[in-house]
Amino acid sequence: MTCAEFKELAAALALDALDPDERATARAHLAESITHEGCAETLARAEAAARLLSGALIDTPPSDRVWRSIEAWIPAHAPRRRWATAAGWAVAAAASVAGVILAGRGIRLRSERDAARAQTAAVEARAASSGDLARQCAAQLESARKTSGLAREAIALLQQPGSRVVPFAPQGGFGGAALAVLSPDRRRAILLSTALSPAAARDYQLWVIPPGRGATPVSAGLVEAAEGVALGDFQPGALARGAFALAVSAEPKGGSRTGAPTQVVLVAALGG
Amino acid sequence: MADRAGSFTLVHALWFLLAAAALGVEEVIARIARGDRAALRSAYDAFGGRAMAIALRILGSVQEAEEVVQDTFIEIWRRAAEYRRERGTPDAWIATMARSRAIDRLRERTRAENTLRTLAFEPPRDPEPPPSESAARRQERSRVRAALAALPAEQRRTVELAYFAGLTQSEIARATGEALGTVKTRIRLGMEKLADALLEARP
Repeated sequence: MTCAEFKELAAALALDALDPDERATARAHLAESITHEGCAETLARAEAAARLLSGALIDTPPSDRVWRSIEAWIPAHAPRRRWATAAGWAVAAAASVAGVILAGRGIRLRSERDAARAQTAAVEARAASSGDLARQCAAQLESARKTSGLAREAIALLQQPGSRVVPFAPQGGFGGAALAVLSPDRRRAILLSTALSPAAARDYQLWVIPPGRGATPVSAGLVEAAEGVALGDFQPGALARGAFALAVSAEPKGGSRTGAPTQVVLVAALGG
Repeated sequence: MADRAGSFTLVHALWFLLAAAALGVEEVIARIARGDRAALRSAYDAFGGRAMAIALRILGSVQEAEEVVQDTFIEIWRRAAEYRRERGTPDAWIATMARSRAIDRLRERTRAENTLRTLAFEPPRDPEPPPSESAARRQERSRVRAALAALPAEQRRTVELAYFAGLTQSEIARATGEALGTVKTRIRLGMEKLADALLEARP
């Protein structure tokens, strides 16, 4: 199946209106590690529209016996504790951190920031006196400094009234997630992820998909990673025309050689 | 290693902060995941009617639709921890789950049964909206219906057969006598227009 053929079927796939063989073929195409031509984005858009269609119906309350049956079933069956996974615990921990910070008590983060600055200075001093080790430390320091600075900017952005947090959906079997904080005017976006580990031969690249059918993704810079935590600052120029979606692709070191995403791994639809 | 720990902790803290902010509106689902039965009841009261409506539309049988609603909320109880915001708002997620279960049941029926259903498919008359219906819910319905009504009649019917009757493209082609390619094109064009109308003009 080609990308063009997939995109012909994406709407039917979103509606679960494909026959089993065709559905399997379409899913297999989506999972292929090739340079897709907007397959995931086309499907995500169709799925987003399909999810809204049930809104056309008038709610029909079920009879009382339905709840009674549910109520009778649940005492013996605890929910699955997926919270025990790392992501789940991260979100559970987030509630307490967010509770503190969103209430205006950012003491903990500020003290961590100050500690980071002090520790950064210590590394810098050590790096200046240790030859090769110093150069390695300096490179890592630069990465840490960028991510630390971006983290502070993301916090400031988040505290602006009207800012939004948008989740990214993994694509093509990619095992990870990401979030971005978006400024109220949508001219600034900062991505944060624990899933985009740096590698010797790979970089992750940011993309903005402008509004309008068939719009070409615009490169918005590379993801900065330090210690397994990655931040990405979407270049303001890429957001100037507005954004229908944000995406992250896996690329050869240094970024895409073609000017187009090589393998999209994360997508966030922003809507209108 | 400890030298970078400060910035490392800072960005992790930010990660937690953003995650919480993203999931805040889905608190009820998070509570279900923690085993809160009252939260499940809240979700049922809020979204059970939507799940019933979609299951009833697809299956055409109150008894089967109620079984689907029951299965759906039991599944929500078991799998609430797997809810992710990118799957849509909780009501859309629950409606999608109910629709998926209804379609599974539908596809257990024979092809002949489904062909007969397709030939007979006409959107049933609307029930009265429940008295508790919110203004936002009314507005949402009007918006989705307006988007559907704006489609050319044949595209609208094809999309409705796929979404509200749960039929595959091949089943629609067989039942309507249209070429499969025509059905595919209608679904694609219809959904593109719906996406334009519903996603880019979202309030």
